[in-house]
Amino acid sequence: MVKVNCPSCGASVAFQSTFSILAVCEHCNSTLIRHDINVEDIGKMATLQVDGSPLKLGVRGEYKGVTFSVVGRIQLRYDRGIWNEWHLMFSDGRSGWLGEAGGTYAVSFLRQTDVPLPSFESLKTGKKVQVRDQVFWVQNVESARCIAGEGELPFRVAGGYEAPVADLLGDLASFATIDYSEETPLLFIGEYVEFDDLRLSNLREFDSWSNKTSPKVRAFQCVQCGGAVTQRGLLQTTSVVCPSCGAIIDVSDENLKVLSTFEAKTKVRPAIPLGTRGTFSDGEFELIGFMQRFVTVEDVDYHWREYLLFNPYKGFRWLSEYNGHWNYIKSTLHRPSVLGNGEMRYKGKHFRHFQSATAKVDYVIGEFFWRVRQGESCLVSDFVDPPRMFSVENTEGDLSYSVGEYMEPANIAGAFKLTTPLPPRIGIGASQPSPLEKTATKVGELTLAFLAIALAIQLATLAFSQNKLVYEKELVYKPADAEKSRVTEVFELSGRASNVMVRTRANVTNAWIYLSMALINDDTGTAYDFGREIGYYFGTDGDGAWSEGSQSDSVILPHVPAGHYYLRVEPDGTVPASYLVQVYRDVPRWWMFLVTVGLIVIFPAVVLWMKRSFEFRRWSESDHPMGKLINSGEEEEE
Amino acid sequence: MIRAFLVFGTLVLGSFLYGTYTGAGFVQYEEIKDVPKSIRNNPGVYRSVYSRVPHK
Repeated sequence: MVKVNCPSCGASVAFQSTFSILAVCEHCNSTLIRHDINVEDIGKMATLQVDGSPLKLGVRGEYKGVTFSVVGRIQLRYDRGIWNEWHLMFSDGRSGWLGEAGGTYAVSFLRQTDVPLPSFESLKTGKKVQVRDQVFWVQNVESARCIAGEGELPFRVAGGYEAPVADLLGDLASFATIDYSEETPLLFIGEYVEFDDLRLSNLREFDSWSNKTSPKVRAFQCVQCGGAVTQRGLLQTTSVVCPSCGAIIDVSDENLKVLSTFEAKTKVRPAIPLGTRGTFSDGEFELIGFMQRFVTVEDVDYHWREYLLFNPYKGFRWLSEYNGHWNYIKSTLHRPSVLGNGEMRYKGKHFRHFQSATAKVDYVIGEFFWRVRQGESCLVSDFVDPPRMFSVENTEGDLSYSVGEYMEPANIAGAFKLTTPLPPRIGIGASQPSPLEKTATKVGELTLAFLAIALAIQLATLAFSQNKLVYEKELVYKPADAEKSRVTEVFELSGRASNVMVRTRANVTNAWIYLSMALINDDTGTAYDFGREIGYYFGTDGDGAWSEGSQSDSVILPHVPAGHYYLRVEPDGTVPASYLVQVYRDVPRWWMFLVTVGLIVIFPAVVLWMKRSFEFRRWSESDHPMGKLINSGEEEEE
Repeated sequence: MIRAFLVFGTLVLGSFLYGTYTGAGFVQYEEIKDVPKSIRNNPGVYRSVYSRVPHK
């Protein structure tokens, strides 16, 4: 660190970073340029505009494991408000930049490139640009104006200079900025980062946020109607809508210029009052703005409501509500990958295209970080991966991305501690998670477990069943016999009480034989009485050869205890025949296994049907009702 | 729902195991107690329940 005395006021001015050549004296605001052995006072630096940035000189933080401190700032005004570029001095000696506006943070470093950069005039939004082996898409091209600087900076800065800049967005969160304010354009490459990931400390404190006191508002009179207007966004918002007359007031203008007047046919009352604070997964936010938008599909207007939330450190979030379904939404600068066929990937998640439509604003109250306009419209495309929703808004070629997550109404009410009821839920929300999603997974797992157990039982049955031929005899039937009944020798059925299969075969052709049989326990006198018919016919007719029936038959008697048995057989028929009788013990069967499998899969089948029915209802609200396929933007019948 | 499926599946598997072990089935038969021993010597004295089943 080098310390010098300010030539103007004599105060000590420090150059902490070796990269810094300019420092602004914090006492007299003189701009000092460092030369080899002395400093040059080149005049007073313009005054910084008071803004709502949570950063200040001296803030410390961490980026990719390397700590840094904020040593300088350039404040720029661009079309949508104020943007700060904070000069970072890293502990490993590097110099970097932390861009910050409205809760968006981006770390970048000056990079050299051998390849000439594209001219400022050649850049158009959406154009693909390759710099240093990285592909970027032009996100924004505009001329910013430097308001002022403070602290120490690595190049000369003066208030009022024009800075034509192009912001490029790469894959994931990477970005590049080309600054055309120098003769040779400067290339900065970096990435967008989350506030929490920077682990910032020694931040600027805001009353009512740092001290957890009640929300603080700035109140003023509407320059159009004189009504009371409040501003809660701590200088991070750009326009405020007068609740009395609908005047859209530019609060970044010191004269509070009225941009336009919003003429709403009907007033819409937000379900959550402005000024209410709610606690969400990523912190506490205050509701500062409300708008209703609509799309028109087949001459029918579909309205939904959006609530703008604000935290001075983390920026802005949205809550959207349609038919009682809520999404908690955050803008993102992670560029998604378009996969085609109506799908895109964002942070490893696949999203399916749900709906695209031109949305128009038809009611606003509160304040916003851009200059809202009556009837402003944009093309909105929603992609879903429940409970997440990814949205792309295209406003005259300017693309903005946001990612939302479905919130249960009860959680919304809990976050804001609401006592009044929220709008009732109607139908299925686009990103509403299926209540059967987890159930279906568990039912699937249980089904597999049940089927595995059933298969194990069946395999064990096959392996351990006796399946044993215990008796076999061939008998003869003659219709002329006085006594046709026969009894067999006694045979033994062993083991536990299980089944007995009686298999019969008779040499009947174009005839039948009926066998009245009784399996009789010789020990107990219990008889199992049953009858079977064997009939076999064949011949030819006009259609050719035919046959019917069979010369064999089998029957299984269940649950027959062990013991000594014999068979009594009483045949009946019109022709003589010989017939074979076979008795098997403990025969394994498949039908019970198949019935078991059938019963088990009924349950998951019902769950799957219910799940599909849920998805059917969800997608019936989309551009792609189920039963149709997405193909290059055209739909075809399945 | 998971609990219901757990109970249902357990009952089905239990029935399957019981049926497999005992050789349960649905064949039509009659169980007759205390048939006389004399059938072995004179099978014609027994009158089968199914002997008069009408057939072709």
